Amino acid sequence: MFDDRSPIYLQIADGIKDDVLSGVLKEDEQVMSTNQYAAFYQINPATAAKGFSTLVDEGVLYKKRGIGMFVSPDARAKLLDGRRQRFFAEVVDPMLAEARMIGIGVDEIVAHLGERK
Amino acid sequence: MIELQDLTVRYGDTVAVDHLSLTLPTGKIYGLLGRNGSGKTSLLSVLASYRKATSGSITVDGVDPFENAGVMRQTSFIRDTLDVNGADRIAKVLDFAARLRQGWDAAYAARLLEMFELDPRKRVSSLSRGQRSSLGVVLGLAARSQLTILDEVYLGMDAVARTAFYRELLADYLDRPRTIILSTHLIEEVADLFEQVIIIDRGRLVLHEEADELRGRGVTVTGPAAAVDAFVAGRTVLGDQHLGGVRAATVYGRLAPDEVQRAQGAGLALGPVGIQDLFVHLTSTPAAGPRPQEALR
Amino acid sequence: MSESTLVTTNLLRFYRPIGLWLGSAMIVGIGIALTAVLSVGDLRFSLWLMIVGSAAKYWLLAVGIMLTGMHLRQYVSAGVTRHEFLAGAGLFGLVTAVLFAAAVIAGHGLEQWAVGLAGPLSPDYPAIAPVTEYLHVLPVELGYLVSGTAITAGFYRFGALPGLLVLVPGMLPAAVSEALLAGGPHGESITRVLPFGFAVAVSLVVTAVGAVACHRLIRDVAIRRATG
Repeated sequence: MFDDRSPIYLQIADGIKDDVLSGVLKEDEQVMSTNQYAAFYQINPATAAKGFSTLVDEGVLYKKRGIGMFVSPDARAKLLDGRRQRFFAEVVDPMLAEARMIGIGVDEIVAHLGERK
Repeated sequence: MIELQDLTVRYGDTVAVDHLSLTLPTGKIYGLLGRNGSGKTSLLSVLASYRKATSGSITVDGVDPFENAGVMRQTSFIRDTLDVNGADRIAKVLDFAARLRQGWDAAYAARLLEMFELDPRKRVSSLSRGQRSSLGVVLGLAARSQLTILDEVYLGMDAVARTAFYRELLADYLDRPRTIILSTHLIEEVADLFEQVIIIDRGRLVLHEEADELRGRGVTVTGPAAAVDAFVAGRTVLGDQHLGGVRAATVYGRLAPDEVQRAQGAGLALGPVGIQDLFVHLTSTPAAGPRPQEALR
Repeated sequence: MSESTLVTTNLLRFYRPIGLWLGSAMIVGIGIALTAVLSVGDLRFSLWLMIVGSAAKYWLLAVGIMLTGMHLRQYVSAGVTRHEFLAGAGLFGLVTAVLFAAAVIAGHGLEQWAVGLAGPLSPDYPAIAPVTEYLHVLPVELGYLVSGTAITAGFYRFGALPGLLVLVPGMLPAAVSEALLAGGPHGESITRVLPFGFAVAVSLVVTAVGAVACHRLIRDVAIRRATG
């Protein structure tokens, strides 16, 4: 369910972010409670809570006292923005480095992209 | 709050727990990991008031638990010997618990018996190893003690029974939070349930951390020996393997993204280290070598 | 109900069925034996005193052994402190010895009555002397109970080999009571060495010292997995 590479709470946070981006979770929609999350994924509730509080800190979720956690109204936009900014540094640049290593020129890449447009 | 200060447990010349200090806030699920002979059971015995420490102090919510009725009433210690009358039938064992334990939930106990497929008419002495463990789980969970200590209760239980146990444990904890200390060898199976992990080795504390922080706390670096040597220089290396000119080093610590790129650039392969492997590495430094806690500095 | 009282009542509850079974079996068995004996002649001694009277001490010894060997662990694991257990078990032991001794005397009376129904009693048959008999049986039972507990506690606390050191002093309550007050070959009451009053006093004092030793051995003992 969760892998060994990073803390589960980060994986939880990333999972929820993905759901928001993909539209599975809509803005102002209520998220499962930490206890429900814990029971569903068979993890300690404190871990789920940490994931949620990370998202609250990042503005992706907000808390309605006595009711639960909800997706922030501007969450999707915020996440898209962040992903956009990191896209070139984390996805494109490594791709270019790999291309360089195996001898593929930028022109070749552009041509390929042209076909895919 | 459970506080251990400089706790030492000695049996004649043998030191089982060596000046151990630990602070455990109540209400959490703790995983206690340690090899056989690490002092785990002695530590748990002291916590449960089954044994007095040789020196040092232990307090549970400010009081010494040893022979303290208030603390002992609220403590359940389940170990493989079960500490019940072997000649009794299971029903009688549960009846005894119901009479003696204030918070005992008989209905819950009955449900658990069914879940583990235990026949209340069977005598404890006639149970298989796995069934005894299941009974131990029933006794530990149905008591709902504020301090529940389960010492390797899974021994002999098959995977199905263990899964049921973990599921029940979490469900009941979510319903009624309390302090639960689980000692186990089967770390990978149950690590997700821990809030904090305590590792002890040779009577000393090796590590006490949030369980989740341990995930990704180790990296295996594999590649040509020279490149690996260069990369791991200055880092804490927990384990090593060589095959021909290839070296695989297990490094303690997390790599930053730029370090990851550097490693990949140097032609090194990086792999995750599960908590179980981390535990093995942290507790298997040979007796003559540096102690694990020193290795972590 | 205090915790110690809870211990006492649960111990009594545990041994009640055993006691009832034993009692019934004894009554039936000795009843049959009496019928057989009386069919061929006179009863010259008390079968009940001989069998039950002398066996009583061994049953109390067994209970003493069980208290440390099994019940201590059982109760501590249920949240009872050692002190509470000692108090509760001590009262239980006393009550059991008192009741058991009373049962021995009552049985003797019953036997005497039953045999008397079949005809005049043989002059050799020991007529019941309730107080004297009771004060012979009870101290011996208490001695064996305490010795059983003390010796087992010694092994439990110190292990198999060092436990042997406790064995000899641990036997004293039983041995002294036995020497001074134990029944004769037919279970009849005999006082040896000391006058009756002194014998009872000495026996009870030695047993009391033994009980204090049990307290010392158990009040802070490590709850180990098994005896020895």
